[in-house]
Amino acid sequence: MPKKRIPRSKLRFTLLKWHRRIGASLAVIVILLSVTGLLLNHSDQLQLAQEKLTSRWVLGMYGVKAPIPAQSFFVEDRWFRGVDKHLYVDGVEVGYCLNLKGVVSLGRLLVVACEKNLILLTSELEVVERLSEPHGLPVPFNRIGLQDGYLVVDAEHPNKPRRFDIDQLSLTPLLENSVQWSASLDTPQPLQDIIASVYTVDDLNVERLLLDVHSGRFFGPLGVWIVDLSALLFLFLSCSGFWLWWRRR
Amino acid sequence: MILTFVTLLATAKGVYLTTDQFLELAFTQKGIDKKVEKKSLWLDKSIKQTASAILDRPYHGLRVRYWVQGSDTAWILEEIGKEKPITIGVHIHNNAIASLRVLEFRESRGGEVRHSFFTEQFDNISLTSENRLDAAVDGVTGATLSVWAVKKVARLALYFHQLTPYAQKTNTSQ
Repeated sequence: MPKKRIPRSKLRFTLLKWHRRIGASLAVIVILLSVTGLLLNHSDQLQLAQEKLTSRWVLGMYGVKAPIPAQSFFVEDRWFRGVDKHLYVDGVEVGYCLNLKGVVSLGRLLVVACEKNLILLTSELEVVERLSEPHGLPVPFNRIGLQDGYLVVDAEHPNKPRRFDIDQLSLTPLLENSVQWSASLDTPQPLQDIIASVYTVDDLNVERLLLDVHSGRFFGPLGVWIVDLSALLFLFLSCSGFWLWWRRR
Repeated sequence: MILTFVTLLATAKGVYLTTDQFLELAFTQKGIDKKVEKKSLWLDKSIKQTASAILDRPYHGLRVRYWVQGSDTAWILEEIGKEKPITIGVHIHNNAIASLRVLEFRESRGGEVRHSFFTEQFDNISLTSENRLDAAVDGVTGATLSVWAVKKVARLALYFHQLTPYAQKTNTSQ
């Protein structure tokens, strides 16, 4: 029995019909991929990696919630709190601070100890400077305190508290052990709520968002499958488009 | 295995020089037997504005520390490449860069800037009146942001040096 063949005109018509349908339905995805791709190609020039995500909705899509650590310090009527890698004073982000270890008031300055550096702040919360290992400080810190108006730093190595002169950048041994160490307190709930509303994550930036939208990951596993399916349909469109053009030559 | 090896090569995170090592390299090579002193430079509003213009971002800080030997100064400054700060040491002699070294690199990409083929390009470069480097520095493919960060720090150190009494000393003796 002779094999039944589909007429070429019918095949062409069916292919054209599906080419159009698939092309129209993929328009949104093509636009999305083109725009995100273009932006990602110029990410360095546009400094997209430096633009932190602040939208609560977008951060919520990533499942970001402000961590609530116990470490808070109350100095000069202000709450100092380390959240993730940031220092917040009364709910306002002041700067980078990995693991807040203590805060003391030293003359007209506020000295904030993070794990690997000291931040000197004015009473207006302006950063005077950041001191770290290059300035002769022993790091990482365990805690800081005061003794007779001098700053005392207690680092892991050597495990012996010492006075640190923030002007001369010099360390001297303690003559006595009566140190008033900076102690943490429970953070009031209203302050926790403020921090939760302004909290951002360093690794989540516009570049990361664009990459995740481009790959479909932003929309979860279904998004990845949709982008995969779209890629296969793009292949189909390329082949069908080429075939249709070839037949009409 | 090859991939792991390539990844390890590409990952350039690490401390390459400590402060003491950098200062020793900077100040002992010339055989000058003078004491290295720690100094502070206070920054007023106009200085901060210029520093912000050089860095292309707001400059935070009112005081910068530096080290002096004779009329040479050494600066250890940090600037973010892509996401994390790069610690860079700049030794200035006669108002020009005598040496520039990457002390610590924390990013996962762009670590090529620590190599001498890149850092040696800064030798003898000084600042123009518009606070720009007076010679071209070639970039490194794939390390654009790190290259920008190092160039900014070089400009900032030269600018800060100009504000110290040691720059004036050099100028008057020339």
